[in-house]
Amino acid sequence: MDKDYTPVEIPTDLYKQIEEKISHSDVSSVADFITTLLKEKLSDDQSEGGSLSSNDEEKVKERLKALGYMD
Amino acid sequence: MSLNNNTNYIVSGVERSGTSMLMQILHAGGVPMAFDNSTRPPDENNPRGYFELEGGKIINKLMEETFSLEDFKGQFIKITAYGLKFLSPGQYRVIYSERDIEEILDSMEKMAHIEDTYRSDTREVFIKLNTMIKDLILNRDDMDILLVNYNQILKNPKDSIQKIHDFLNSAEFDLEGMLSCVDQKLYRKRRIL
Repeated sequence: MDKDYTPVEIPTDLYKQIEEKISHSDVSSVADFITTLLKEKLSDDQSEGGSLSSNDEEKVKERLKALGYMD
Repeated sequence: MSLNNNTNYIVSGVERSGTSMLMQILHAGGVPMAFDNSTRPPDENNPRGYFELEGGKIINKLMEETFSLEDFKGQFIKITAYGLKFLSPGQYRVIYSERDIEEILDSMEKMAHIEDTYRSDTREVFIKLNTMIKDLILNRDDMDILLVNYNQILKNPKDSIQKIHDFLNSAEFDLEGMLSCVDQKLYRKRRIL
């Protein structure tokens, strides 16, 4: 199946860290590692996106008060 | 020049995501809006003004149900993202702004005069807030939404502002005026080049 790809740049130091990390695993490439990680992150974000916890909401309000958007 | 007097028009987004710039753009286009710069006048964080009502503290009034949206039909007002949670059923058209989260956090810290030692927590919370509010408004049957991106408006003003102009459903607003409003010099806390 054809897939479209778009090049993305990351810092070289980070690339080397990932290369080192995956060298001892069965992940075939830095690109695969990053793609898998990002898909997981996006999936987590979507599943958490439904609501804020009461703790999160308090943090939002605190920051809004500091910015003058709430009393 | 007028909008639909049966509709509430809102500019929104997480705080420091470009909501004031959107209001400026609309104002430059001759779009009807309501704001009061006397309670929170322009400052170093928003040199051209905040374009807010209630000194920016509209969210408290929405939570208390003491803000009369009815009085503001047919004109744009600014309600930042968290406030959209408290909108009663009605008829709304919303322009919702997003911006690179690191730029948002940098701008928040500067405005609040803080150095956020829990920045990763703050980042997570405001990403969640943005996601939650977008899900909410995109799924409300009584809302028409235009999502815009602050970074894109500055990178490619013509395309973004044409979309905003089209969303207003009227050719009478001043597109050139809106375009002339975008000022790169005001693009502070830039992270995306």
